[in-house]
Amino acid sequence: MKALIDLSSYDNQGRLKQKLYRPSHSFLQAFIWNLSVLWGATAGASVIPLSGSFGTTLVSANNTYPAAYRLCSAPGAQDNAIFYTGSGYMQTMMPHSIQIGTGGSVAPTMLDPFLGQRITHGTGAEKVAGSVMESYTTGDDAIWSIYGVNWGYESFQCQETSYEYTTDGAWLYGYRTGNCGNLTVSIRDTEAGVDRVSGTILQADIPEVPGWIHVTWTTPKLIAWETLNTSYYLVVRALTGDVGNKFNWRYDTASTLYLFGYTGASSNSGASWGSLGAFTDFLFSITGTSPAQMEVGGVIVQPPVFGASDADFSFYRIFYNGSANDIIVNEMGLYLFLSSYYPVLYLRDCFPGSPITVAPTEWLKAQYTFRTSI
Amino acid sequence: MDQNPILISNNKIEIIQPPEIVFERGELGMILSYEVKRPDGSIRLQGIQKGHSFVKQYIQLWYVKAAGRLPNYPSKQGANRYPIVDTYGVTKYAYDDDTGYWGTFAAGVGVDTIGIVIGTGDTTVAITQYALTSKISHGTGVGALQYSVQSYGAPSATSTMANFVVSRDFTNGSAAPVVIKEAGIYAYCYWPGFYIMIIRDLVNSPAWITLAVAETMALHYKFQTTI
Repeated sequence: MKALIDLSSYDNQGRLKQKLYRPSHSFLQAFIWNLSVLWGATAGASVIPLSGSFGTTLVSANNTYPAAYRLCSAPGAQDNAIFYTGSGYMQTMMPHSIQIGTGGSVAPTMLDPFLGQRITHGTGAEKVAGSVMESYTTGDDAIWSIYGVNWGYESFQCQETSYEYTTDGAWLYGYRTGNCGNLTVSIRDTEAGVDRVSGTILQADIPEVPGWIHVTWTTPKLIAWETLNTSYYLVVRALTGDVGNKFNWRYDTASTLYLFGYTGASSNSGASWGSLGAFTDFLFSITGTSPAQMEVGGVIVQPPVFGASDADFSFYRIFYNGSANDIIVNEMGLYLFLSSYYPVLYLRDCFPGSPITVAPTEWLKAQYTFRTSI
Repeated sequence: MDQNPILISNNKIEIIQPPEIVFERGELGMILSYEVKRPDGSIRLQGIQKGHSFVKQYIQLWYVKAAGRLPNYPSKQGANRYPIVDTYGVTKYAYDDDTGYWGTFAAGVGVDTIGIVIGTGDTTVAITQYALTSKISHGTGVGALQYSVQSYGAPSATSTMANFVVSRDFTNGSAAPVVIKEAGIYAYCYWPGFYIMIIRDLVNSPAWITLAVAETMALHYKFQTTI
């Protein structure tokens, strides 16, 4: 069996501008893993290990959520809204079914868990380097002193408004006392886990009165929407500091506005963590880049077509560019949800040498055909 | 034809190079292989070939599931259900179901209605076939073979390839040899509950495989994709 990809862009008069039609090159590991479960390998109990955007084992999926294999709103379906693609209203924003992206310069590998950079649903403009993606910036009324084994973190989530971006750095609000040394800042996907991205803030760049300081990650990294309520942790430490030489990270002891994170404090170098109290948040920002958004339409599945020696069916999705930016699409993928909210990537194709440019008010039709021939 | 025994041991050993099995990039490919074992467990014959033939019902099964034809639609009939011919040649009307497995073909001992099945028919494979031409039944009577439980190998992957294997043994407990010419996979369509053939291949054509009395044939389908 083969999959074929067909991308066509149209101007706002409906005239075809560009077309890319070729076999897909990339059924991924998740497809094979999932087939083995679908077809009976310890059905209902098998674990499908996949890597999260930070390289962690993410999904323990089995066959207990067969509705996940819905890819579409069927023609004539009576209870599927146009944006309903499987199991909920959020799925235009979630990575489900046909998705496109701008991260195709990185070739696919069998283990890819996500598109390189998915284009999310909306009309938002491109976010250039340093754009704020997550933040809490007001209400500070206390400090947590960071030095030696005393570390701190602020957790955050990848929200609907900032789905899928490549983080390039972060801001902290605080000041130093004495010579705290350089700060090491990182993002983890578990409190006591490993650093997935990190960077250093030089002592010379840390003010002695409260102010914002910036860290740039050594290597920018995609933060993808993985599942509901996935938290990340912005971890800060001053390894060479001591009680008289420390970094004081400002936080709000009565934060009620930032609902997607909380403080963490450790006195044993991050081996274990406690909270600074309910409704507390450090002042922070996560920065990054993301492409302009496109409005994501429903997925239409077309009935199978049979030839003398082949059989196929196709499904497609319309993406409308309601932003003010030209969008250069150079990758396409197919996601399924293997349990209620765990997306996995079945197919990923990249075409950096023949990208499709979609200008404002133009639209793109992205189609897969699954075909078997004898 | 792709089939080609790679080892024949019948008072002598002869090694024949296996055929090169080439998949197109991105193809979900099948490798069909088999070993025939004597009663003492020694291998008498083995071979490997490319599996060619996902048939019509496989695409239809994908379609039904992808289209999300829900059982709780106001109308469970007509346009909300999709006709698929089952392994008995009867048109059934399928729709997606929230709770059931989709296309599973796990099979137990002695079950010849699901899983890897074999037959004696040599009709050329066609996309519209819905059953083996002449399926061999489970049993020890004339022309029957004993179907084992079906086993699944754990999937594996490298950076460029992923695969898994499904296997089943067939033992000749009858009093006469049985000639095996075709193999396929019957899967279960959960709602409203029927069997469909999703794969059919001719095996070791045109020499076929003769399974002598008390011999066992292990047949494997490996599903593989590369990027």
